[in-house]
Amino acid sequence: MKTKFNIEKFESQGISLKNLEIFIGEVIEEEDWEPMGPYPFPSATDLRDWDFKILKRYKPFYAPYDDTCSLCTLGKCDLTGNKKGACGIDLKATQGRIVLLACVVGTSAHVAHARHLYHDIVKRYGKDLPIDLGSEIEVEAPLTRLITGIRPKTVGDFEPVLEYIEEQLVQMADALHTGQEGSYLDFESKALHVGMLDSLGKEVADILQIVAFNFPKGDSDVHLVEMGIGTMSPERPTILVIGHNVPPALDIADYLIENGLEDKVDIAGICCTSLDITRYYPNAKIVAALSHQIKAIRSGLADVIVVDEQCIRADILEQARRVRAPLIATMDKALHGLKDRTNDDVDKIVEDLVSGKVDGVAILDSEKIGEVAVKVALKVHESRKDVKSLPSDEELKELVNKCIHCNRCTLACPQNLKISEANRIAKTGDLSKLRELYESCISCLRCEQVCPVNIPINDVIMKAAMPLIRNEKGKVRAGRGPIKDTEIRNVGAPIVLGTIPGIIAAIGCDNNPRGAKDVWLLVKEFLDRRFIVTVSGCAAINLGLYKDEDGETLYEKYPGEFDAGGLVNVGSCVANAHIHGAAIKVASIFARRKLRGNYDEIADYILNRVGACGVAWGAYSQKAASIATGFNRLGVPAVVGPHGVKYRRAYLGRRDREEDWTLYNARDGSEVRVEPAPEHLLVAAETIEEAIPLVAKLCMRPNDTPQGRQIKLTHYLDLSMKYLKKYPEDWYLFVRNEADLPLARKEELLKRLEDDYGWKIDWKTKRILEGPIRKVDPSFDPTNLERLIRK
Amino acid sequence: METPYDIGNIPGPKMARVVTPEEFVKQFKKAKKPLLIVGSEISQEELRKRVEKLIDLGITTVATGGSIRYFVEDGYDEKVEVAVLHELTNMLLDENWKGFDGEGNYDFVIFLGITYYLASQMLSALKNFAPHIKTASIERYYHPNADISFKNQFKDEKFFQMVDEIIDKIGEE
Amino acid sequence: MAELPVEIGPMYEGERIRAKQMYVEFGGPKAIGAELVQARSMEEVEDGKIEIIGPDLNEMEEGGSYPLGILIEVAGKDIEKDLEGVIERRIHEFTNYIQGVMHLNQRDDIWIRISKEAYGKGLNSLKIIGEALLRLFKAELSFIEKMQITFYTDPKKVEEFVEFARNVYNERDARARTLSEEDVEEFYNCVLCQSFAPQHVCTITPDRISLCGAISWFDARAAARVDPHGPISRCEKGELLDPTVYEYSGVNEASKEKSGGAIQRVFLHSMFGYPHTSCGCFEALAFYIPEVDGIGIVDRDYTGDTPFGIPFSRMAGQAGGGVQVEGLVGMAIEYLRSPKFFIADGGIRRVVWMPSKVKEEVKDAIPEDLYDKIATEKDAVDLESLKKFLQEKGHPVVERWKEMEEEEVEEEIAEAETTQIAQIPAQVSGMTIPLGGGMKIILENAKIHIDKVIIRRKEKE
Repeated sequence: MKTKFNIEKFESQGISLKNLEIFIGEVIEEEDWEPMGPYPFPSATDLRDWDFKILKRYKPFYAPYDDTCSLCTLGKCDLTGNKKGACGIDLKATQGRIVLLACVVGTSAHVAHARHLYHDIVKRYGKDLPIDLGSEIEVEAPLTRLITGIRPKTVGDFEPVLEYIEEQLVQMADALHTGQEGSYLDFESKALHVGMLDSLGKEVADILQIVAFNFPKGDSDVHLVEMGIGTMSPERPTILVIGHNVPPALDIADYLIENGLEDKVDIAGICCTSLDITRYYPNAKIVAALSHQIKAIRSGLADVIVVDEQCIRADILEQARRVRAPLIATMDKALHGLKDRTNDDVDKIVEDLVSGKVDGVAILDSEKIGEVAVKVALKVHESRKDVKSLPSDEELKELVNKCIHCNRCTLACPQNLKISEANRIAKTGDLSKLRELYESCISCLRCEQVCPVNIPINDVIMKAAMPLIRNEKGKVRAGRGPIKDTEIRNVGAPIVLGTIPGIIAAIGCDNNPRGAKDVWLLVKEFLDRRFIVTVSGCAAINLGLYKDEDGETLYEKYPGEFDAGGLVNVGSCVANAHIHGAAIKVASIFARRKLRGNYDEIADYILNRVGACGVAWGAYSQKAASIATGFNRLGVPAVVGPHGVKYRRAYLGRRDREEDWTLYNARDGSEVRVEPAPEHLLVAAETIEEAIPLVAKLCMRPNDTPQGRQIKLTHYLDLSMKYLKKYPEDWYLFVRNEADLPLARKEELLKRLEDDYGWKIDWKTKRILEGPIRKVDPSFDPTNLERLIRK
Repeated sequence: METPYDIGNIPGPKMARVVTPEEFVKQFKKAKKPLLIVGSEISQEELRKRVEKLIDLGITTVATGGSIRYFVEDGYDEKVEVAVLHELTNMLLDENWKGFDGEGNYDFVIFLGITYYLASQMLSALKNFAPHIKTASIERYYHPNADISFKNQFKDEKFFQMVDEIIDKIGEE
Repeated sequence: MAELPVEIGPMYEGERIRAKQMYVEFGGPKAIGAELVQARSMEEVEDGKIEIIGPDLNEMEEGGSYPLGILIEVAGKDIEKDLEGVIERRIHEFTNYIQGVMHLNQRDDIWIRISKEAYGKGLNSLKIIGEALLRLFKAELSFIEKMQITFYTDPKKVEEFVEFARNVYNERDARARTLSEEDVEEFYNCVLCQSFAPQHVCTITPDRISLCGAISWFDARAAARVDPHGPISRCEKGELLDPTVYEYSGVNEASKEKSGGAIQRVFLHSMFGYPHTSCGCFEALAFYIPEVDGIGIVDRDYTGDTPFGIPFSRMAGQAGGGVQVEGLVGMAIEYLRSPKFFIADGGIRRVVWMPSKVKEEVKDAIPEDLYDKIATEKDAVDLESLKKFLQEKGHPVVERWKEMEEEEVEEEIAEAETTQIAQIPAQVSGMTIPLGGGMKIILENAKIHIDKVIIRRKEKE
């Protein structure tokens, strides 16, 4: 609001004004909901001190994927052995630079998505659409409050938030230019900054779609959705939606509803669009996670393919053509060379697609997409019945017999699958080895391109796995969105008392080293142990694939509440922000810490107190890089699978370096040496058996009560015994006194402490006399921040 | 030049020299403090039994990737160290690390039975940031990021033959 | 100690054993059962003894429902009768720690199932359950020096045992109900929540259970015995400085020390002045409603609006974090049953509103003549209708309104740095520019260019 006013003459007691002209650029009515903290709208340097604090303990570990740099024409430079390139940058800083680049790209995807939704929603509903997430959610946008200091009341309140992120992103992208930043630590600090922006952008995106499209608002008993390739029906026309930005899919659903076609045409989805469409339209099916994109297309069961943005195969048009499925591109970011037909007549577009005159079209107006997609699906369904997708039994035999065992496929396979070997056995008529590949194969098609005898290897594997594919039918609980404030309150006492040992967030993509069953195993293990497990994105989808001995998926077996043993599907990738949100709410609700513009204090609180650990077992994308980095800046550690080392950087702590593990006691400013908890901020494991105990360990925090530590340690030891058949090497570091020891093994462990670690035990009272790093001090108020010291 | 097992994995100008078992043993014997790191692929019994022979020869061995459980089953757990490979590599990077015996870092690190792409990245970290360590891959995969590496072996028999040769040659003294 | 055939640990707590997976069950809907802990003298207990009176597991038919009595006798120099209930309640948790054993409810309402799988693994005798319980109890509660367990499965014996146990429960309940702050020498402080809310100190007395509702004076007493330097510790009662609000010198000192000086004084049973601090996991909130001069109660399960037109979550955002907030105090539902429930402010008779579910739950604690006069969400979720309701029903607070009008006294609010006054969100009021005397501002031909005006409310101290 701009204001200008003139006062010609004004005379009053004590004041005399003449020809006064007042111009006010902007009037902002600041609300009194909380005093402003030190860092509203922080720039990268505002939180640099915090970053350097965590980077000191969790030093960046680099594993270069490329020893050279070719970003400018001074190169190509050889940086092997940490040499410097022509511009002066060394290999370490180059790695930090690439990490920052990945984070910038990933964050841009989420933020551009948020911005697109914002335009779309403002156009449809106006800026005054209220942000109301129901009576049980008072802290509606924890990240927005924390980072910008804004408490959004209407959709329009997100405008300055998006502007802020966009401006910061450009600044950070600028730092990538040759001749800018030179220190790896500063690249990391910037990457952390971008990770934080990513979390904020995701929150904006998900809240926007929740309020605009009336998605569930934190309901724990949301509906179950059908999932799996096996649920795709050859009998009904099917529209396959792929991507992350839901409005086009919504338009298809609306068209079906308005025209009474819900029973006539199916919507099936892949990736986050499928998660988001099912938050709106329960009839839609979730076909699969990202790695099944080619599998779903090659099944031939999709009559029309509609893509929006992110994680779409770059060769989608070629793949769609192969099964004669018309393709509709809907976003400016991913046009795939198709002609923009946005302003054409619907019937003309339909005719061109149905007749096969064009393979696909681009339509950038979501309100036309529904009509086109549905009409085309209805018309081509019959004519597509003769589409030949997978080989017949006879053809399979022939194809397998063609194999000359040159091993080029194996050298090309990112999963290192022994394809040639499986073919050799298939030649004897035994398809079991080929079938085994199905689970780990991500259908990247690198093998098909190098096969000298042109075997469609993906299709051969799919054909061999047909019995598995037909049974790929499961259930996913639709994404519920935010965690309610009241749920956070409910879990307060059990978290303090240790009966809820931690919060696990199984998130991210599905570039899993040996299939998604590993993630299922991890999630089930922690649910059975009464942890809270939150899931999102492809990880959430894949859980629906597997059933237990009772024939139930985890979603059917475990409640959807944010509570002990609850399995909480927040939704798509952008819904991840609700997991950050839950951690932030713990600080605001229990400690009544001020959120407003107070990022470092809250991150410090979370790092030292909130026993949460992320697991991104199959992370592949740049988005996953920015997501993990955003969790890390907020003080939440994450474990990735073995592919995760290709991100080049980890944040690893060193439990053997005593000097790294001191904290202040905020009560008196004294320095306290603590146990290494959490030991890492980002670490990769090779197998799920190795990861499960590691995740349990990373749930320990310096503030654990004896009850809490006892149960966390019990799980750590028990999971190590279960999966590694041995106690871990470092368990004793987490014992502060005898009350921390697992009850059922107390005597045995006291004995080990005495024998193996030389601790002094008073056997009469069964008390530990000497040994631990520190004693339990119930009043210990751990912090890394000097400004929080009270004396 | 041998093709990297993951064909696109061409890191740069410095790529591993392909060695025979004999050449490997020569390098091994020059080392003052070697360390054998094994991973999840030793779940294959034929490979594990060979690793256990190497352990019996007195080579300090670390079980990573959760592979310790197989050694427990075989009664070898007291003879091996346990670590997460990511953590272990991080410590190896530190020249002043005390090692498992508290007496100092290692100078020759051998990779065997580890998921290819994970091992490749850890070898890259060591190649670029740990000048104090020489690395060797006696995997069935050619590892360009190691200092020395076996070439790709697609057949078990041949690969095991090479490992056996190593065992014999080291045991000769 | 011998290895047990099944695993033991908290990971089995959530285990559910369905009918088809069950080998046998005890108690529950089809048979009687009870569990009881009795404190004995050192001579009366034979440590480690486990006795089964009646048939053992391996003598029972698969799929059957049987009666069961569990008697645990304990001795130790720090064990007293008051700890029996505390020890007894752990039976539920510890039995559930045993793989393949499910334990529901407590006292004479128990329901235990043994899984076929566990039986198959060798859990074929109650002795094994006894063995596990002995081990867990002695590891957790170090004051138990001797412990013996008797399982009754003989139907007649169980019947006698249940009868006996019921008498004990009744006596115990009677004592717990009548035990008050005046009867004891010490209270307890619980700072478990400091792991999340660093300034919060819970003071637990026989008349005031912890805010989360999980730790009674008896529980706290037991915990303090096990680990005197742990998060739950003894708090000297000291001198009763003010018998109206229940300010004790000992409580003040302990709170001062344990909050790091943030809390100086505590009025145990008043919402005003220096009320008890709130953590984050309080079961319910008591809130003062100035418009009717009464107290409202809202619990965290209630999702609708309170008479302020805002829900629990919004109101709770103003309490918590170990801060003293006048007129807004976290509490356990059970505190409503305390004879000292905000007695300084008029006690239960000052309560004007609570959710219907809570009202039903604490029906026994509300005087009969008052019950219908307390409004619920069904009667009022705004101040106007609440006022009307109270007037119509003749709630005791209506009397106070008349006094208020007559005297028109401004409410006195104690000034204290650490005390905050509850603010129920209101609209931003106008801006005033204070001008002192003797000063004159003259602006002629002036241009004022302001890029941005931020209107910020003044912070209240």
